[in-house]
Amino acid sequence: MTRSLIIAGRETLQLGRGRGFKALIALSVVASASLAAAAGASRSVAGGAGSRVASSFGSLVFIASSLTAVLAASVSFAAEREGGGSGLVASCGVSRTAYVIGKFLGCAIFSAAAVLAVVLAVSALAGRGECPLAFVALAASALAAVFVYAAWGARLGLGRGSTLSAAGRALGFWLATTYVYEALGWALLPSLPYRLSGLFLAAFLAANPAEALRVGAIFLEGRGAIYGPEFYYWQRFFSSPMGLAAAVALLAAHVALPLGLAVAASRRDT
Amino acid sequence: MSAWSLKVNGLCKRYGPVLALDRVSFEVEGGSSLALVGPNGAGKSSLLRIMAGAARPDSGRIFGLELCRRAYVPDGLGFPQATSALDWLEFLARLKGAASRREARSQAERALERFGLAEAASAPAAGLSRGMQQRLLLAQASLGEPDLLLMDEPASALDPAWSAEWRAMIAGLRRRGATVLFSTHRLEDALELSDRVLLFRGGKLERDVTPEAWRSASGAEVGISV
Repeated sequence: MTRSLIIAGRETLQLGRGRGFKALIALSVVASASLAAAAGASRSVAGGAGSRVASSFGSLVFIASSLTAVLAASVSFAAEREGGGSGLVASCGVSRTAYVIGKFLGCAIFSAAAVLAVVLAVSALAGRGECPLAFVALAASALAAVFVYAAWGARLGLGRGSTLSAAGRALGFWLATTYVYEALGWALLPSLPYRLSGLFLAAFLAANPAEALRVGAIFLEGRGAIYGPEFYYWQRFFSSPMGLAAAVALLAAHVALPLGLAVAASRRDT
Repeated sequence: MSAWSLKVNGLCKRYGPVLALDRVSFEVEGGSSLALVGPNGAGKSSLLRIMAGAARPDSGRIFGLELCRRAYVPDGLGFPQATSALDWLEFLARLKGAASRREARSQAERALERFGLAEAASAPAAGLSRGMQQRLLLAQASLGEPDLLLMDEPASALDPAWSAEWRAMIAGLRRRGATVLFSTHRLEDALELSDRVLLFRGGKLERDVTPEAWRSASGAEVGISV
């Protein structure tokens, strides 16, 4: 564990010093400022308060956090594998599991810090009159997205090929899980018998990290009703302590599965 | 002579259609020095990578590795872009068991000093010249007092002065009882710095002889292309 933490600390510092981080900070500043301005304009037209700003940022924060995490992790793992650094670390007696977990943690901490900075900036600039819990829910769902997508980034970065092809795989995975899967799933749903549709929907939402995270965020924000009346009982379940435990377990499974695959890929690669 | 020994038993390694190692077996006594020679693609680097733990054999085993602290000098490395030479060595010193961050820093500074890199301590490791990177790899290998040093063509990018320092490093390690395995294309280094010379060809261990036996062999054999 100590070695994993040493690797995580070094990974976070290394990503933070890189050119990618500076570009990310610049992008975050521009995004925060423009979104805050847009939210301010919308509030002055519509009036009122609540969780409108946090809700409207939900999709954007999800996109930013998942994309940052999957790209940072995949490129970092692939670059070190390609350069031979992972072999040198292995010669220091570091196990493959400790290496993968350490690098994964470093990438996740780096991505989480960047995403939380955006959420904090937006809540400070445009969050007056908003419910603070809505921003807490936003930050929690962003962190969950970071950990899940950084774990998949680790797996994708340890595949065969160059750093560039790892980045391509990560981008393809992100597009497939966030857009293609959703479009296919919702297109298929009406063609299923009514009795199966509930079960299909549950499996459909739980199997894909992006859908699981979206649903979790929506229920955390107390907006489960937008999915229709069939989600009434789901909303009650998710609001209960058991529901929260189930959501955390689902999230842990979405992190553990790709990490396990990454460790196996790392062993195969040597 | 150290009490421990290594036994390499029937190692095989294949990269796609290429058989890099073909049932390689030999023994290494603790405190000895072995030179691996042979043409490019003979299997020297694959053997060193497996012994370092950076690669796994398809079959075969190495007995005794778990008893020793290893250090590995690969044949070139893609250094991280945004890390200074000092930070990189400090990181490796911590992985090799330095008691604290301060101790790791101190070890890293001493290693940089020894290999003439003190002035380049804050420079990005990836931006150093090929020769300086080679010295940085040797510096990392000297961290943590290794029992087994595995070096893949360590002197290929060194100028004569640093080549002499590398020889001094090997001599110092051997006095301390450490075991050294290195690959080289310079036959004079192999004959001068080792107790045994292992000739590889096509993934097979073809000859395992002392330098004296190699020298006393026929002129044609001594001049063999390695």
